[in-house]
Amino acid sequence: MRITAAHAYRAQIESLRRTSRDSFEAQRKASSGKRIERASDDPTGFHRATLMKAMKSDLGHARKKMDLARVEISTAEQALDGMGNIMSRLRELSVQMASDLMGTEERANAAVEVDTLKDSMIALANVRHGDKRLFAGHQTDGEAFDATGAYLGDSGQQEVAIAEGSNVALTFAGDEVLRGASGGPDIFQMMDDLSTALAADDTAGIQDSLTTIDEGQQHLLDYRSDVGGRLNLIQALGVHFEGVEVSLLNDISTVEGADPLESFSEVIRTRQAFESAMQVSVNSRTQSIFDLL
Amino acid sequence: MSIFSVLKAGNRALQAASAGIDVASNNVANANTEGYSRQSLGLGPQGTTRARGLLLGTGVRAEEVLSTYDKFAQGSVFGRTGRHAYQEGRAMSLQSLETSFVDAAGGDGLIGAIEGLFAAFSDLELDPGNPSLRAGVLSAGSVVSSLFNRAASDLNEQTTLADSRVANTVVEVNRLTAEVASLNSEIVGLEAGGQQAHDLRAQRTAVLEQLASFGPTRVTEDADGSSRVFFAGHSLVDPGGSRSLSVVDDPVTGLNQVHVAMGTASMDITNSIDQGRLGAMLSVRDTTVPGLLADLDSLAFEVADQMNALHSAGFGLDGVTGRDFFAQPPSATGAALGMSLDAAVAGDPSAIAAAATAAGVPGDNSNAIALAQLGNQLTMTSGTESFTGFLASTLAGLGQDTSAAISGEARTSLELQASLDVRDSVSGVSLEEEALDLLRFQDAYQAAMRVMQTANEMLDELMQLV
Repeated sequence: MRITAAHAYRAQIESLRRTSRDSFEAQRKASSGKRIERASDDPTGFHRATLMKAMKSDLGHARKKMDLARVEISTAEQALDGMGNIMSRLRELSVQMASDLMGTEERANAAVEVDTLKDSMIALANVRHGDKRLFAGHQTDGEAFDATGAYLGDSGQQEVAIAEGSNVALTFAGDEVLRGASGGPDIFQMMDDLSTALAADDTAGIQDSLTTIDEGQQHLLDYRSDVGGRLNLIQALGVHFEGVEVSLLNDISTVEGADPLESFSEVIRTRQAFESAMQVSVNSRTQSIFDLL
Repeated sequence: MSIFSVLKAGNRALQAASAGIDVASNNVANANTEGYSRQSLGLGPQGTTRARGLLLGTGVRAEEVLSTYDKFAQGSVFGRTGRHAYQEGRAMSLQSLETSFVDAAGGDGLIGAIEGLFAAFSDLELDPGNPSLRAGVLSAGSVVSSLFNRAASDLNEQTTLADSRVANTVVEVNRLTAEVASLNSEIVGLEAGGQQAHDLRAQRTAVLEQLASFGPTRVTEDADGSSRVFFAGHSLVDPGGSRSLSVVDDPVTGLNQVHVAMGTASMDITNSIDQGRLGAMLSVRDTTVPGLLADLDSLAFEVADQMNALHSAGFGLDGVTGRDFFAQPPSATGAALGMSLDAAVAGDPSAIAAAATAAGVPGDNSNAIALAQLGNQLTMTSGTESFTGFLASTLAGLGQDTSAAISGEARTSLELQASLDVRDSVSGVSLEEEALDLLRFQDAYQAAMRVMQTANEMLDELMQLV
């Protein structure tokens, strides 16, 4: 094939253009540290990286939400602990005051203490996380119980989704916890009955309350266990999500990240190619038959 | 043969060598001229004469200047110029489109905003009565709708830009076809008069190459030297002159359609223009951008429709139900551009339906949970992709188109280079060859001078005898 002036010039231009573009691309990837900056760099990899980033973002958000839920459930857990302590004190009082060694005055004083304990129990049942009542079912904006222990909330239970298909309850229907709805003991009624028995110096009535106190303690322990289970689930999923997030981060880096050694080698290789192309262009200009004429 | 005959032969050789140097010089001067074909000098014997019983030659004659033009090689260049210009135009347009669309719709744009909306509903689960969380949901919804608007608006701008380029390109095509017709007239006129029109032919070839870079161009040549030009299969230049293209608004889309005059009427040839820069513009304007817009509209419609279905079933803080979250689009067409928060919820955070029942207000968050989980459900592409997965696929599809166009540009560039190399190997100017031709004709010139000098000396000696 005859090599013409236009042919030689075009080949040089094409070579310079290609090597210049390759060098620029290599520098771009090396400086960004990314193999995929645009969808066209690797459409399949871009698609995978985009979905993994979205998933990582979801997991990050879920973990943040779990942290908030954990604090909220812990608040309820502390309230249940407090209720358990009150029940223990009620049992102590009942056992003591059921004794024939106790007199009317002691029982009257104990009745006053039981009334105070009931106020404390109501206060614990009206515990808030922020502005949200935790024992009012769905009626989170108002008190769960009034001063007499009457339930003001509803039977709803607010849940939070911490993973697909995995919801954790945040609030309680207070009447189920303390007023015997759904079959449990009516703790406030028990406290009222105990107070009445104590005030009336009614040892048989005091004895009767012991059974309800035991049931109430077990009932609250069940809720306490339930809350512990929720916290454990959150803890376990949190650890799992953290692991998945780290794994996703690695996968994203593998898919879209540029290997530093490879990318800097590519920068050097393409720069050398570009410099060679420039050198060839300059040299070919100096090799003209007209110089020999 | 007389001494005067020798002088005449020497003179003819001198003129032939001089013409040879002229031709070589012209080749050197036009080595980089687009469309130029190498010229060569056709030499022939002047003839013979009988003298002293001998048949003697009378020297050399410069017969004609030949142009080494290979119409088949040039035809291949026209075809591959169109294919390369198409891929190059697509690669440029798609890279630009990819940059702007991925920016608007990618992880930092619409995908991030859609995730942000579902994250806002997810946050609302924790405290559905919280006014600031409710305001956060409205704000996230507003970001989603405004990014849908922006992405659709950007795509519409791309369509408008490509459309105006189509109109400008048609003007340029008409200018080139008129120039070819004008050159045809000049070439036919000159060659009919026995003159050579190599330079005009070179100009015409250069113009035809430009024309081929705009669209599918086929060129044939008549016996009289005029070129017929077919653009997208339709004759634009013939011996009678040139026929103009025009742009006519499509009655439905309002976009420029390319028409060719057919008598008093015109014919739409838009769909036949599948090569060249014009083909690339039309393909991006009529296929790529509408495809992206259709995906965007489809996504906007589904996001609005499915969120509305859930939201309208829930209850706001005021216990009211039946309110949409986004203004319900009547159909997918135009859904992205027209997306907005529904008037019933815009500016009223308490209207967000987080609760599934009126009685559950304000603590019931079950509808907020359902809305938050909608983001992870496979609701698109016949239940195989989530909203963000669908958009990621759309972006990856654009990436594939762009990548294919970049590869196509590189491939067709090599093909065009090969055709140009073949053409130039036949008709291009080699400076080395021309240098040698200069030497050859310089030698011939000097030899002819020497012949004339010898004849002159012989004449002088004869004259001294007188």
